[in-house]
Amino acid sequence: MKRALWACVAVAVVSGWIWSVTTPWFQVPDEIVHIGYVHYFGETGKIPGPVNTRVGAVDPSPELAAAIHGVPFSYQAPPTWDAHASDAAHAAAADAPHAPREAEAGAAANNPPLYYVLEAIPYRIAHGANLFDRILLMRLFSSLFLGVTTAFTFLFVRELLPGSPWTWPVGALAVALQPIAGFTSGGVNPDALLWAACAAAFYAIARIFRHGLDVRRVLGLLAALVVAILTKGASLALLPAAGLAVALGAWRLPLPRARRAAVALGGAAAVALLPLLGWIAITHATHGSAGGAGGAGPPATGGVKVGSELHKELGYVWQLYLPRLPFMNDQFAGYSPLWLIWFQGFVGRFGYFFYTVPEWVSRIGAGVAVGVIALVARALWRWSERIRLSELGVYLVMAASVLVVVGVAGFQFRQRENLPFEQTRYLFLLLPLYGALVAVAVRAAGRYGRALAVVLVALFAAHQVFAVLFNVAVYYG
Amino acid sequence: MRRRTLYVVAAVATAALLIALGIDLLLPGYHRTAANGHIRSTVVNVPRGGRVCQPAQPVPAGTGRVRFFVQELAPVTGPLDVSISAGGRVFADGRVAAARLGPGQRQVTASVGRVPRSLPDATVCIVNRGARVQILGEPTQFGTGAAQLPAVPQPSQFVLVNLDFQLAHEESWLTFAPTVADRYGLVKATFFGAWTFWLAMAALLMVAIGTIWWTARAVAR
Repeated sequence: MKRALWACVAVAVVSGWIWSVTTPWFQVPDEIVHIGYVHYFGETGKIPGPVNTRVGAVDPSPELAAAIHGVPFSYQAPPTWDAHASDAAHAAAADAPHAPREAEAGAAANNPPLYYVLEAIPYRIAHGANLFDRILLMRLFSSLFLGVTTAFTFLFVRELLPGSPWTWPVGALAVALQPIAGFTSGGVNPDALLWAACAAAFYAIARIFRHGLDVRRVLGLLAALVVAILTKGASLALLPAAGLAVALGAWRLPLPRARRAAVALGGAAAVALLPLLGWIAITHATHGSAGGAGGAGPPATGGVKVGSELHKELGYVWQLYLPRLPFMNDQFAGYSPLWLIWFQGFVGRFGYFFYTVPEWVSRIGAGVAVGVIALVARALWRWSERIRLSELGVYLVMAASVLVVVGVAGFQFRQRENLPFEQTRYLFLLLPLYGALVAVAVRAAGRYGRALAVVLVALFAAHQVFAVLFNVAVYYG
Repeated sequence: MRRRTLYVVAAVATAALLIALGIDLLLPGYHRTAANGHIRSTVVNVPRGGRVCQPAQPVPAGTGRVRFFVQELAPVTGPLDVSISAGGRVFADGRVAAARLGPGQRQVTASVGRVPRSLPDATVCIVNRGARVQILGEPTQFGTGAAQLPAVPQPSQFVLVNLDFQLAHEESWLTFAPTVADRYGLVKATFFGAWTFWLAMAALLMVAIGTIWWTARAVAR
């Protein structure tokens, strides 16, 4: 088992590294401000305050500015193809003073600090090197988190399907080879650590259901939640399901009814509230108020109040994932987010969500997805007596919470900034469920399951190969 | 399922991957010689007979096609005449034929004949011979380097038109790969070069094939 786990981790990390070295610098979403945050922290040891958190605002230090202008950065265009310009950019970054600027963290200053503090390790290790080299090391380091996500997905699938060890690597490899996961984790972006922490939370919850509740398992879940909360505010979406898992776990303890209820209530409250209190404390420490630390996507603009139009908001959240109902205002004129944003984005939309693989690729992907879902449905039907409904319910609560948090954040962002918000990666907190679905599908395929496993992993591998080549063609072809 | 059967599946999957890769790499296409890198966040209104001229364009030798983005306002867009000139001399010209493009941003390409030598400071002009159309570009605060726009109301006073330049002839990705490798190493880590491209591609292929075969072995247990 250990060898299989490490093999999957190796595939994930090397995949992340391939994305790290193929994607041009600053082309992973919001990478400029994430690097700015690490640059400021790495130079001063201080957490940057929310000096200029306007979405899209870039106020870099001289060194970072030299790199950005040298590339030169553009949302929709390739970097320079001129060798002299490249040398000049390296020289300009080398000559520019290291002096940081607090505002260079931009909107990333709204995020909790854990990812950036960890990224400061490779930053400091390569401190004497050119900024372009430091960015490479930061990217390679970030890819390690994809390995962690893959490892916890492996362990999560192991808890779900303990009798079918051959399915564990299949679920883990689905995550390891997912192109958007590799692309994002291969850049400097806190989502990489957030997904790893979420995968750990899924594993901890599965342990509670399979092996029962004890202090160690609750602490494990709490640790995963604390890491997630210290990384990005979107992780608040995990708390309801985590609390529910602990409550259900406590309810099964061989204790008198009243004590059971007390443990369930106390445990759930501890798991759900302690990270929340921690988040509020962090927000106070870094922002001086409870209303700012980063949400699901682009963080809030400091001080802007958003009016609540509940019916519109509900309509938006619904239409973000489901077909519009007749009485709803059309929130996405002329297109379906389910296909255009979530599915095509999952198959392959890169850069700042600008470059999408041709639609026929997504259609093939849809065919594969339909097959996998059909097999999962078959499994649910055939194994209905063996399914732990309470556990399934917790995962559904987890998924629903993430969808709602992303929806609400998206609505408020659109209201505030009048800009599109939705990106597939915001749902990648649920990557372990994706891995689990694939593992369940191959398990449900009966005697063809193992052959299907090889075919699916080959498809995932091919998906990654062509996604990387697509990315290379966009920027260099 | 027998181990041997799984290895056969892995072999077929590997062969399919390599064949797909081979087809992809051998398919001919027009690759870019340069791109001016301006984003497409504003439009230039171009009436019938209107002209947009984007100066200060470095155009490499061998360029034979100019690609840009339009938004259709009439049932049919174009024709659009495109020319590349420098020092008062036209080095290449061609036309985008009239066509129905549909809504949204659409890319169009004009074949202009082969530019014989590198032009470090060329001007690209687009003349609209059809109904009103919009051309995409990036707004800028300053007039320096901005395009000359038609004398009709415009959303932005100064605009840098988004232009891509492509080879005159089609090449396969395999033939073009050395150029990709040279570009790939630029403005990344200081020690990067073309060699890192080949290394990354080799790693990519090895991870893909290795994972397929490792999976066949792992699930056979």
